[in-house]
Order: sequence, then structure tokens, then C-alpha cells
Amino acid sequence: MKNRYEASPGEQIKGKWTGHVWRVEREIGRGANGIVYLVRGSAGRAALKFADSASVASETNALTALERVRGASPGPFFIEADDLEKEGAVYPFFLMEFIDGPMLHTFIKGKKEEWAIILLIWLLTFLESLHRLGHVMGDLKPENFIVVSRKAIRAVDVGGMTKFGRSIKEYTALYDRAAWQAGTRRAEPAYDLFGAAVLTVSLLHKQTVQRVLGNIDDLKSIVQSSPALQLIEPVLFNAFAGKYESASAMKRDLLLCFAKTKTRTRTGRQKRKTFWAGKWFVLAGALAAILMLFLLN
Amino acid sequence: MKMGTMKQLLLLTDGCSNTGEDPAMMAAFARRRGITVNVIGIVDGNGTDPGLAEIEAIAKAGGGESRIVQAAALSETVVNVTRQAMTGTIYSIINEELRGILNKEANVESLPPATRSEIAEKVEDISEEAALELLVLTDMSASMKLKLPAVKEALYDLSMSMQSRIGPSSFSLWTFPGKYSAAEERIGWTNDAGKLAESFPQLLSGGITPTGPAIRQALSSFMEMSEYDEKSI
Ligand SMILES: Nc1ncnc2c1ncn2[C@@H]1O[C@H](COP(=O)(O)OP(=O)(O)OP(=O)(O)O)[C@@H](O)[C@H]1O
Ligand SMILES: [Mg+2]
Repeated sequence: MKNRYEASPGEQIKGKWTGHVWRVEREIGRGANGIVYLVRGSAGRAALKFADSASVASETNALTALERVRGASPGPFFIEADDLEKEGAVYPFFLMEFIDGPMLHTFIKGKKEEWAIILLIWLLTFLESLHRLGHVMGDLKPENFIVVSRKAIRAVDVGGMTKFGRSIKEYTALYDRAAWQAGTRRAEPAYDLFGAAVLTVSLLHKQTVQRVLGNIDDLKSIVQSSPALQLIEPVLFNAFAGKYESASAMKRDLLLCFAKTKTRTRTGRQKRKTFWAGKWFVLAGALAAILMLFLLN
Repeated sequence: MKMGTMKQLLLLTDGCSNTGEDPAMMAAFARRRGITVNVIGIVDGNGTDPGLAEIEAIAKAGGGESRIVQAAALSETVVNVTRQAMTGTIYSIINEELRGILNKEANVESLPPATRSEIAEKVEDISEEAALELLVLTDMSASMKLKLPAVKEALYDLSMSMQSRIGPSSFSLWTFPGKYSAAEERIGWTNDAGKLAESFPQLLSGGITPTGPAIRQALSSFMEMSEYDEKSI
């Protein structure tokens, strides 16, 4: 990218507009758009991202939009935007809450494969609140999410956040519906749900998914040959086919599906006597699944 | 602010024009006519291509974006460059207006961050909703041989993003060198972005690379389009 600013640990960054001073502790990460540093100011720790002026402005807007969610924002809180002036050049940056925790793919390393399903449930909770605001996430790569506490995930890069009805601003091919030839790049909940499903599969089988990118049938075979993913196969397939209109619908199905497989394994070939009895099994199963979630914790 | 049609020419080449007028000069000419020229240079792995300087010069003269990429990263780049070219065009119009109101050096970056965010929101709205004419001009000279599948894939990708736009969009595909002239129209103006990849020819056209003349000829297509617009009003 053109004139990126590289800061070094210990450096003081002084905002041209606010006069606030931020001391760089270390680099947190970098991507196609910018470099993010962990910094300390008079009010404590924060994440500082240098990017071009247009990205700073649009990410600022995205972060402020997210704050309309009640309670904890699904993304980092926006602090302020400013410029650094150095040797005649201007480097725009903004500050946001530093979100501490592992990224999705780091989190799942060394854990049971079933954890991918739980991450998917959390991801759907995140998407539910984002979609309620009329935005999609767009770029669903695991590096963009952080597992906070043990119950939720939050987004750290909102560069792909797009209003419903527009064309997705930023995406990564692997999680992009259009790249799999499974639909358009129009921002709608089903776009994110497709990405969430691929993300779940690739958390466990990244290399294989990468290799078959573009061929949805091969992607389905990966699901079918994975013991953990088999449990939720119908839900993933529905998401691949764009059958869910909302994150809540997908989440509900996911819990039911997870539950059904559990009861089936528990009750063996026992027959359902009536419709209602069947329903009860499902309910009991759902409870079992929820219990499982806690146990796994 | 009122926005007319955004006219963008996207040139895909591996550089090294070898005949006819200077492509940067043609790009400057396009710019004066309100057409932005963007260039994506497709290189082989081995770093220092002689065509790189030319690629940057064309985009600079044409007021557009330029990127140098390897074939594998082409898809992503084509989509991003087109998107940034649109917002870039809108920003340059805003900057011009600011210069009129404030002073000769003023631009969006000299405004306070909060104002910039408000502007960014408007720019996004406009770039999604304004009318767009996008002409893709592809180098099909011999050196592009191994890159054509990547070009086709990138055009498919571009069409996926363009089809999701809200505003009216027209697309056209030209390649060069042409059989009987510098460049050849492959797909005339259409609203169906899907045609770009569907009808992308997989055959090379020949050895010479008349980038400058090709730009000049492709520009005529924009002119015809605006004459057509005037007549239809
Ligand atoms: N607020 C934050 N708190 C903690 N970590 C963060 C925060 N913001 C960014 N990061 C980390 O920095 C990395 C790079 O940041 P980010 O994704 O915003 O950059 P980018 O240039 O937009 O990247 P991309 O190429 O993915 O678009 C992220 O993967 C994330 O791990
Ligand atoms: Mg980003």
C-alpha cells in the first residue's frame, strides 16, 4: 500500500487534531489495508490502526454503526480518529478498543473437533445482532474474529461490513459465496451464513477446503467425511444452498440437529410412537445439547 | 452534489507496449474527456519487469489506480481496483469543489476526521448508486498466453461484484491487438456484467502490443455511448 506508516515499540504517536499522545507497545497485526498496534494513552490501552484516509473514514463509520447494538458491541468500541504528521506527510489512523483473546483458528487448535460447532453457534449469535442493524459482515475469515471470555466472539476487522442490498465491500475468496459459484455478492444475511458454514468447515480442514475452492460438491464431501461435521451436515448444506434467511433460523436448526443426533445415538433404534413423542425427544435432545455446550466449557 | 456517469477504463496488460503512440499520452487524453484510466499489470514471478514503469505512468496520466500483481491474485485485485477507482473518481470531484471553496491546496484529507467520515458515507452511497460505464481492455498479445485463464476468472469475479451494484451499470469488453486494427470490440455495451467472462475469448491475437492505439480506439466507444445518450434524451 502507498505510504504506510511503520511505528516501532516505544514510539510516541501524537494526534494532529486532538493532541493526544499514544505510546506504541507492540504491533498486533497487519493486513491488506493497514497495520494495527497495541498502544497506551492517558485513558489506558487501545488498538491503533494506520490505514489510508478513506478506509479510516469508512471503518470509523462501521464501528460507530455497531455501537448501536445494546450491551456489548459485537465489534471494538470506536475511540477517535486522527492524523499523524511526520516530515510533511500525513498518516491517518484511528483508535479502538483492544480486544484481547485468540482468533478463531488459534482458539480451536488442539481442541476437540466439536468445538467448531460451538464456534459456529457463537458466530451466529454475533451475526444475529449485526444483521439486526441491517449490515452484513462480508469478510468471514477466522483472523477477523476473536473469542472473548468463553461464551462469545467479537469482530476485529469491520472493513467488509456492508449495508444490506449493496455489493460486499471486502471478502476473502475462500469464504465468498460468489467464488464458490453459489450466489451473488449482494449483501444479505444468506451471504454471511454461507461464509459462516464454509468457515466452520475450514476451521477443521483448511488445506482441503482451499484445494477445492470453487467446487461446492467437493466441499460437501469434506463435510460428509468428517465425523464432527456430519452431526450438522443438513444445516451446513442448507447454508451452502442459501436456504436460511436469518442467522436465528440457522442457529435454531443447528441446535435441533445437534440434539437429534445426540438422542438418536442415545435411544438407539427405538421408534417414535406419536408425533408429540417425537417432539419431546427433540426437546430433550436440545436440552442435552445445551448441556453439552456447558460441559465442553 | 450531483454525480454524472462514472466512466472507467480498466486496462489489463503485462506492460511493454511496442508500437504506436505513448499509452500514457492517450490516458491523459481520456482523462480530459472525463474517463478514468486504471491499469492492472500482470507479472510473472520473477520480480523486475520492464513494463512496470509504463503501467504506473498510464494510470497516473489517466487519473486512475494502478496495481502490479501476479496472475494468481488477479481476481481480488480487479474487484478492488474497480471499487477504488469509483470512489477515487468521486473523491477527486469533491476535492475539486473544495479547492473552489477553500484554497488551492485543500483536499478531503485536510479536513478534520469527523467530517471525513461524513464524506466517506456519502461517497459510498454515490459509488453504489451512480451510473457506471466500465470498459475492460485486455492485452491479448503473445506474452499473455499463460495469463488468460486468470483473466477470465477475474472477469467472472468482477461481474459478480458488479451485478450486485444498485446503480445502473454498463459494461464493454475490448481486446488488443485486433485482427484489422489496434483493438477490437468483443462485447458492446451491455447491462449484463456476466457477459464479460462468458464471452471472453481464449485465443491470443498476435505478437505486437499497441497499447496506446488500443486505448485510443476503445475511447471511441465511450464517445459513441454519450452521443447515443444525447440522442435518446
Ligand atoms: N481492536 C483490535 N483488538 C485486537 N486485535 C486487533 C484489533 N484490530 C485488529 N486486530 C488484529 O490485527 C490484525 C490486522 O488488522 P485488520 O484485519 O483490521 O487489518 P486489515 O489491513 O484490515 O486486514 P485485512 O487484510 O484482513 O483486511 C487482525 O487480524 C487482528 O488480529
Ligand atoms: Mg480489513
